[in-house]
Formats: sequence, structure tokens, C-alpha cells
Amino acid sequence: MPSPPVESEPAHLYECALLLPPDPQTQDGQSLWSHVDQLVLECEGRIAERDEWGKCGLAYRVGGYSEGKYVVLRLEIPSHKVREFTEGLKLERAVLRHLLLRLPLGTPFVRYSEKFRQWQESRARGLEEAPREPVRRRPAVKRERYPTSRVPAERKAPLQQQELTQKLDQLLSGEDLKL
Amino acid sequence: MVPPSPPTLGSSFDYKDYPRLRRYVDYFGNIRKRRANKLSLKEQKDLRRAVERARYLGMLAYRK
Repeated sequence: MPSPPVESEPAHLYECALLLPPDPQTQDGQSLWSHVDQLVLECEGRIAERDEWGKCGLAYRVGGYSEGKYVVLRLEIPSHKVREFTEGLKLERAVLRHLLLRLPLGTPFVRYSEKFRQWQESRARGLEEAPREPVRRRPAVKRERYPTSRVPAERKAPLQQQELTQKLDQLLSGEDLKL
Repeated sequence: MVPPSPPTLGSSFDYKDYPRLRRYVDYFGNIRKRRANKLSLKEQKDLRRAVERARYLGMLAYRK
């Protein structure tokens, strides 16, 4: 038998990252934030911090969109209301994807949108990032090629007739014989 | 040794830190080996978790 939720359960710290289309539109025409705020209120929680990123390209198409917006929320919600909160986010069509993480207490909130914007600007200005260390590779060793039979040997130029007669005369005369 | 970043206590990498994560991922979207990244085992595990979360949110590609 499931135990009933404890009424006085303390709220925990959660981080919720939302992926939204570049122009988020809800079904009834209201702003998405009013929906999310209402959802958080229904879950007896509160939004402690909010970090909105600008429009940025996605690595792959999500829901037919190649660009999107990221919003990171720092929430304080009791743990027994988390399921209700995620179900509410799933029903929201303007939320393409969401990621909810529980954080340890005392985790500082860092605005990565600023860092991302600075990185984008430095990239647009053409500033190179810190160069990577070169990959160590073994030095290339040149192998000596063994002579093969296919390599044609150098051919001597054919002797002329005059040279041939001279050599023949020299041999027949026998002057160079050392007897 | 990578200095631990503040966003998530006990973890060296954060999935929202795209400019930092992309340095540890190659052209094809694979996470580089630990020896190439010069990370400890714990840092490499944190990196993997962060990259998987970033992939889910569309920041990084699964495969190019």
C-alpha cells in the first residue's frame, strides 16, 4: 500500500533546463512563462533563478526545429510533486525537451548564457581558441628499397665496328700476352 | 588536473558549458579517450555524463 505524501516535506533544489522553439507559442495564446509559473505554483514550489539563453542553433533537428532557445530554471519543489511537474511540462507543446536534475543544497547558480554569448562573440570576431597540443606521432622512417629483378640493369652502348676491329687485332696480335 | 567547476557540486563538468565540452569531443561527435583528454577517471566519467545530457538537449550531436 503506497504511503500518503508527507504534508510538511521540505522543498528540494532542482535545476530544470528547457529547450524551446525560437518563437514559443502556447495553445491558448498566453505566454509560456505564465503556464510554467502556474505549474510551479500548483506544485507548491517557487522559481529561485532563471537564466535565458538567446537563439542558438541545434546540433540536430528537434521537433522540426533546427534552432532553439534554452532556459535554465532553478526550482525549489517538494520531491513528491516532481512527477506532477514533469507531467505538466510534457503536456506543454511549446517545450521541446526538458531535463530536470536534483542538486545538492548550496550549489551556486552559474549563468552559462553569458559564457556562451562571449564564446559566440569571440568566434564571430575570428579569434582562435587556444591551440590544441599537437598529437605525438612516431617519426616516419624511410625504408630502403631492395633491388628487385624487375629493375632493368643499365645497358652498355653497343660497340662500333671500328672499335671491334681494333680489339680483335689487338687480341690476335698477342702483344698483351705475358708468357 | 581539471579544476572543479562550481555549477554542480562534486562534478568537474557541466552539461551547459558548451564551449568547454566541445573541446573534448571530436569531429564525429565521439568523446575523446581519457588518455587524449588527460583526465582522471572521475573527470572522464563526469565528462561522459555531461556530454550525454548535452546531447539530449541538442547542444551536441550524437553522431555526425
